[in-house]
Amino acid sequence: MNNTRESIDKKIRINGIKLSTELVQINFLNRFFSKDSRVLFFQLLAQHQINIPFILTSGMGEKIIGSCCVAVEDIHRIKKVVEGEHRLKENLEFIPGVGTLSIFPHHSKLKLLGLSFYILGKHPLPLYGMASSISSLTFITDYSQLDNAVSILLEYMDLPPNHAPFRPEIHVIQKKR
Amino acid sequence: METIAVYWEPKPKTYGFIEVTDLTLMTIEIKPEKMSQWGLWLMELADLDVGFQLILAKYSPHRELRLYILLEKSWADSVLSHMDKRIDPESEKYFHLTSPVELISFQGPHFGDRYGIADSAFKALDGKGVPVLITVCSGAAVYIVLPENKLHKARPLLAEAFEVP
Repeated sequence: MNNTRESIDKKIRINGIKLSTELVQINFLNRFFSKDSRVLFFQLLAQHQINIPFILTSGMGEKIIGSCCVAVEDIHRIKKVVEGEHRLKENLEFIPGVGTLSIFPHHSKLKLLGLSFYILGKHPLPLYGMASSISSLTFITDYSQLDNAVSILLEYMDLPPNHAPFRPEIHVIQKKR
Repeated sequence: METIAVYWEPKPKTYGFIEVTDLTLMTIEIKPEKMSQWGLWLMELADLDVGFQLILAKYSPHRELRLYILLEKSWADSVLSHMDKRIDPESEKYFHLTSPVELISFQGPHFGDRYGIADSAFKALDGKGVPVLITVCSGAAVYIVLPENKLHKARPLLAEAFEVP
């Protein structure tokens, strides 16, 4: 335990922090959200060419617990798409104004996760979900809090010299011919 | 300046499937007031050199944070004996290991920016006798956690939906 506390006092080195544009989180309300509803939801969004940059689901048994994030500019279209589907419309929860913060690299070790949870417990930052990817840990929090979250993280983590958190500059759009 | 690139593919291209068996899924329900404590415990596990294949956290129907850590089965005993000394069974009612489980993951060009990737994956497995325990689409990667002995069933179904080199 002493070693662990010492390693919190010493900043850990990371290679970068990436911030998303503004997103909306959609939660599947567990009580009535079935496997079929999940399939239908993703099918409808694909049919309407709506991208889902972040998805978390667990499906132990027939009921699905899950959530996803979509671009804020797509939310009206999504609400319109699910409007006609009774079993979806009433079983989705929308959390507006969220964003993702990705820290890398995690090196497939638990240290960055442990430190991040330690920080999240010590500071009043909301956490709506998180997942690992190939090299990063991505946390969903309030979009308005992203810069504040970076300032807090940098009290415990060091970026390489001349590095700053970045937002995507290239926007890729997929269209059907 | 706007730059447009166009390419076409009959089905989503991947860089190949990564398949891992003999895994353990550790599930922990974390109360908000215990977040920092769990952070310290996870750092202790990191000091033991415990690695992971996948992590996700989301809220349970009871609005408590549920953390899933997918790790090699060979770590399960040492994680369990380490955590047993720390967890108060009265207050930490939701800590368990599911073992063994399997993982298939893949990535492809701009997967995080393109519609229809999740739909292709779910459609490929739905109704084919392959229960999915966990799905994560994060960045350009897709992760699907399966119960034991389901990987060999999932692989050909996904290979029909995605292009594999």
